Amino acid sequence: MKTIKSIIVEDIQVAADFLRKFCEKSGKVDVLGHFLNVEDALGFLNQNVVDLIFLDVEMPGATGFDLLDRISYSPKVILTTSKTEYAFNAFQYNVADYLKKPFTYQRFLESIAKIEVTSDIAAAKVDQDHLFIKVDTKLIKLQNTDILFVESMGDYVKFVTPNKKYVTLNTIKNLEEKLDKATFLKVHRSYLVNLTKIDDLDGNILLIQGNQVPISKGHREEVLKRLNII
Amino acid sequence: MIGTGPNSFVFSQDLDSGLLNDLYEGDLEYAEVVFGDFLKYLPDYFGEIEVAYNGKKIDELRKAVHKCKTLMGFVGLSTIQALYQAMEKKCEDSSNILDLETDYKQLQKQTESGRNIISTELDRLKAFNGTKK
Repeated sequence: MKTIKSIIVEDIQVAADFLRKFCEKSGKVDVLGHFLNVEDALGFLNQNVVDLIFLDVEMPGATGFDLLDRISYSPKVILTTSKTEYAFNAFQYNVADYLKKPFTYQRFLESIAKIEVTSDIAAAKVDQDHLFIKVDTKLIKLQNTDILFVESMGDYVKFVTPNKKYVTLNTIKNLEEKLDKATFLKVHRSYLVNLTKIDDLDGNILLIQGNQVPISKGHREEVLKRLNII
Repeated sequence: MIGTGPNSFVFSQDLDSGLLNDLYEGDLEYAEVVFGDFLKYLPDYFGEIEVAYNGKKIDELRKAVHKCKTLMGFVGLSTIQALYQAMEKKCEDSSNILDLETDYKQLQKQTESGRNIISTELDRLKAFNGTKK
């Protein structure tokens, strides 16, 4: 069985050690690293892909939510905190689970089971080269190769193709998980782009068939890495 | 199981034994490690509280209290953890450091008391684990 590749972002060593021990005991989760703050974690995440982040919220400097704003892809996230007030934010950020410290091994296993279930669902979708979106009362088939980029519009997203734009109820976060990661990249909190459709990069603006798409500071490094610049 | 047989270990009544039994599930060697780590990290963590309090930085104080509060949970100091929880909330609601003086002094006192409890408990754990080796 494939193990889940994870990192721990946690400023309390005892808590991190406790969690690492649970991961080892389960045999299901590999811990690739432990980081005491968000900056160090982002440095690692910009160079490595993980399946899961165990993320504390309150840390020196930036918070766990700042990390989620700045990361360029969407691994699963389990929040680990001793403060229940973050539950609402956790919901908004679409985290997989929320563990209140200290938590038991049984509770840890329940959390990992949730990750395994959602990963299975994602794996089942990997080979699809198209998707259906609901527009008004119709389901419209879009080939991945037709999508230039996707823009967030609050609770809706706009799919932009060469000839038409489609608005449907969805989120960038959700689409990032469902679309092919080799082709689509989040370049900004509100934009996913089809990498094969980028014509030019001008400063922090991507030009895609006459459209301008901004790149956020937090995503710039990953974009440059993926553009195959020589 | 901890605390059920004649040769089993029973956590001090000063600690939340139910929580500790759930957390460690009989792994008393690991409990010994964590109790030792608690004593190692506590001076630094409480030092952050002292620096923030003396510097009258309430938000820094809240963060340092939050960190220490979390640490308390791993060794079953639930009563003291509740004091930290209350202090953290007061930090959120207060703008004047003088409002926090009484609570701060109580935290100092209770934290020292907690440190002594854990120190004694660590000795008991070492003795118990030592007899099993």
